[in-house]
Amino acid sequence: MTGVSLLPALLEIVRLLLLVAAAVALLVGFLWANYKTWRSEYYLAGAGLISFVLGVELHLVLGAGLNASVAVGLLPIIVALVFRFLIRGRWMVPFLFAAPATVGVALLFLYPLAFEIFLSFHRLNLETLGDWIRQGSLDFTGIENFIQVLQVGSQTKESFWLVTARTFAWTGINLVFHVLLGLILALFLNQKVKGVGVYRTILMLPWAIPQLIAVLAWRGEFHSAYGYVNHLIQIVNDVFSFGTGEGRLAPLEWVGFKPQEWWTDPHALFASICIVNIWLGIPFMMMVSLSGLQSISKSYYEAASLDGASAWQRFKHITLPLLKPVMVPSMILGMIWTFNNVNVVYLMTAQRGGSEGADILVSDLYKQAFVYNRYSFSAAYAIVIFAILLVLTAVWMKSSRMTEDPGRG
Amino acid sequence: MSSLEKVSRKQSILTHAFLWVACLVALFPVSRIITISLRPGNRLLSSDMSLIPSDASLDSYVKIITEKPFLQWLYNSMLITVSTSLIGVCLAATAAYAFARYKFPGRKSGLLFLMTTQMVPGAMLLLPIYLVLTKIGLNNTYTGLVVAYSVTTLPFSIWILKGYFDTVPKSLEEAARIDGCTEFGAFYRILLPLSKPSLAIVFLFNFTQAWNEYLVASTILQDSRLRTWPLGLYELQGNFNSEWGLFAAGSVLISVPVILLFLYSSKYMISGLTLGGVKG
Repeated sequence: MTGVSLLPALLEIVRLLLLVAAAVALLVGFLWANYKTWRSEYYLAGAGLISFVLGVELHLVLGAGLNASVAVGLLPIIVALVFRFLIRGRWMVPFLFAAPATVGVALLFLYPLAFEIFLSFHRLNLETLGDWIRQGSLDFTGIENFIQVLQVGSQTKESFWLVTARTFAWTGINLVFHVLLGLILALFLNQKVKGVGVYRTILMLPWAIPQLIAVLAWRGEFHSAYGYVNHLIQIVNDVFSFGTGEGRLAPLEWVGFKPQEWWTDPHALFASICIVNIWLGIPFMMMVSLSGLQSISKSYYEAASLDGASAWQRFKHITLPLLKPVMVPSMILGMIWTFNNVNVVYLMTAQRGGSEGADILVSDLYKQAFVYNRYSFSAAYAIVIFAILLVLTAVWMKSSRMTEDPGRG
Repeated sequence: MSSLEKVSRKQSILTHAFLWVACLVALFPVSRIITISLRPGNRLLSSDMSLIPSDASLDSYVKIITEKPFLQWLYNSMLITVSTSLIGVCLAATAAYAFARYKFPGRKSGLLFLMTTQMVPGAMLLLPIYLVLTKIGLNNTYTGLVVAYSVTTLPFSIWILKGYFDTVPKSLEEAARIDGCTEFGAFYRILLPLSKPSLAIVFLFNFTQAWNEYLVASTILQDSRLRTWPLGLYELQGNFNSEWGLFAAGSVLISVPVILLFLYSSKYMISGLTLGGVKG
């Protein structure tokens, strides 16, 4: 049980690294050969021949599917045409430098995206998976999957609109607390007091600790009987209560401040996830605000003080406007990270005794795909979520252009 | 805010009090994990609230190393993480060089595209990658996992490195070119050595991303011998009753080096972030 097996895994990784190196070498070599030969009069004919041989070889000898063989076989001639008529030897160096990463990102991003779109119009679930792997055939279903996603009152999952509303609430709540608390902490840390470095290091901890460990530890503390959170609530209630027994008055309990069933009550669960994620995200905003604060020249404050500006006026008219160009891009990044945060929600909800009613869009998507194995349904779901994200992107682009600083950009 | 006036005594006390409370909140789960990891096995679920239990023992630490495949998990994680980071840094450095130093058609849209990939939910790409890996038989292998990881980190790495390369004066490479260096030579001999700090940061960024990842690993690796440490710890935590102490001990063992690394590198990572984020 405790023996560590070293070799098989190492061999696999070495093979992978060699494979990647070979692929990069092949790619760069291929582009280089094109660059060296594109002026030759036999260039297009040669590329056509290579295309033909490659396609036939793939299909007949290696047994690849017809579509794939044609697609791969067409590549050399397409590259040759691009070289001959578009590039003509220009920009060769940057293309060579960028090629490996570009191909990697395209293969691992564009291809999955295309495949996802394909899936969303077909029927693939656990029953049809075997057929698809053996024969590669799938039923075409049109937009059925999309209708299912958007349907109100679907029996199989929570309403899409409810989850969407919850996701926006989640994003808003988290972002507001991240920015507010992060900024306040940064303002305190920016003062000249003893031990600021120690404080800053400790306050960074929530960001530094591996997320999985932090979330699971928090989850343990939200256990209704053994967790610290309910204990703490009980203690606070005891302090602020009067009398004992029947006549006990606990004003805080009247407004809902009492021990909760954090794991099973959906509302309490959602609240607990928000608390955990706020805790996790504050250090990032704190450090961004702090670096922004430190880049503001002291002379502004000196001038304002000479003119008799109060601390609040200095904050409002100097700090905030100068902080904005640093904060807005980070806030938008933070918004997208929060919107897409599948990890925290999944780890807090996806266990025995967990409740279903606290999912946001991406964690729901993950569960539909990998817990319930509804592949095509979740493909359609993913595309709908992506459409929402594209709108957010547009907002991002617009605001980042607004904050563009001519002095630095 | 400003250092112009001396901070008054009252204000200083207020600041200290506030920061103290904030630190307590930040330390809360960490201290709890340490406490639980020190508890002897027979009373894991106590509601005892003292920081270091009176009967503290190192049982859990001994147990997780001797009775659980903890070292195997660490080894697996290490292999996956190092190879992901190596691939990430090599591919990102060359691409970032092209974006930082050359004008070519597709440069702007390429950078924009890299930004966009940051917005795609991971779960969305995971499904097709998982299905394709299953179809070509790479499911349940390290290869599949490393390939999947490199998707998520490459764009951000390129972005950070490009931001750094922009700050290195171009004239150094031009001088090298005049002295007869090739384009690749100028990149390899001049720019890369000058960019060592940023390369280290990108390596660390890739490293922490892959090292701490749970969800993708749990989807692609089913074989218990292939498990990375997040999968192992998650399993331990699932048995809330019996192995909570082992989970805590394992967490402490893993967190300490990670936290130290992170605190060391975070300063540079933030400056890289703001550099890359502000410049177009």
